[in-house]
Amino acid sequence: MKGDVLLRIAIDFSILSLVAIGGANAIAPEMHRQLVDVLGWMNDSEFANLFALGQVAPGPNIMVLSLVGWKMAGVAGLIVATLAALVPTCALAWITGRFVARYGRAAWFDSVKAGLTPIAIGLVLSSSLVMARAADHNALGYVATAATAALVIFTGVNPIYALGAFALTAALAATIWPGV
Amino acid sequence: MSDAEAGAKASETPTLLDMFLGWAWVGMMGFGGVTAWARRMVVEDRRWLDDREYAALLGICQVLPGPNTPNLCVVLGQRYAGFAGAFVSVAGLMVVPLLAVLAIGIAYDYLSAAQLVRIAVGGAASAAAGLVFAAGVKMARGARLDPVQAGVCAAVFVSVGVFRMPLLWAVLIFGPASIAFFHFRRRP
Repeated sequence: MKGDVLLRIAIDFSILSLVAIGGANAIAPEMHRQLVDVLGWMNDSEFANLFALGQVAPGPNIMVLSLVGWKMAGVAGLIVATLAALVPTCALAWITGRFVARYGRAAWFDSVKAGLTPIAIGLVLSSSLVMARAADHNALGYVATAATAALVIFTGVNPIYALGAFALTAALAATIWPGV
Repeated sequence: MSDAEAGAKASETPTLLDMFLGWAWVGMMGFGGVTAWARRMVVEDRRWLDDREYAALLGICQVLPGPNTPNLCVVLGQRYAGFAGAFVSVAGLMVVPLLAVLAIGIAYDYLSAAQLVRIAVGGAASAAAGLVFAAGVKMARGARLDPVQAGVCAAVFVSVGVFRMPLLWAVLIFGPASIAFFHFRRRP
């Protein structure tokens, strides 16, 4: 059973990080599809909460995959998930780095960039929609999403404060009005 | 080679320990993502690259799939010290965050038995959705999309975000089509 879980993590997360155009912020739709819809390893709220912990944790946001690995299969899961998230893409970066060092930036590089940039942006925006659907269950949730977006777009404030503030607000609201 | 030249040379090529410590610092600081801290360490604090070189290198890493900063560690570490450089850079970046994730995971396991903790993290999750949206808007603002690119972006959003097309399909369908379009439009 645990071996099956580790194998699934190794395969799925390798593929996931290889198609993550736009980085860690692009992968919420596929993570949600796999973990909630296909494998049934967790529900909407558990998924949203794990993703939030991945954002709060120090380091690259791709660590959310390590966190999922840990939750599903302990320390072995953490290690397998982290390696799966890093080794294939780092190998690709290695090859690209060698290529660029030897030949410089080829002409097709600009075409690749022009073609992939809108895809990366579309994927990151898709991520935010999937996250909001999984996380927002009431008016306070919608307010937290909208206010944090506005804060980050229009000010230079570190978003970690917004995450902390809305964690507190949610806990307070639930204490004052239980059942809402 | 004079002593002064040797000194200048040494400060230009970081040692393996420099790379490990530099990236470990980035990993430790980077709450809510490491991109901004990586630039600060590489360009401002340790001066391994100037602004232009950094932008060019980051551009390459943003085109590559997967997490941007570990990709940057690989390309930069490779340039200075080959495989060992790439390895210690990625290891440095990841060591503190991995321990932190383990601590967070263990703490959450114990604490999430309390409903209030789950609700609080749920509040942070709602905020995190807004944070990701803002990241997308900032990317779009920086990229100055032309109408065709905006169309591709919208198509990806509708397919993946609304209709939940698997990511692998989306990348295989839209990627080659979009790259080919911009390639042939550039050289009519």
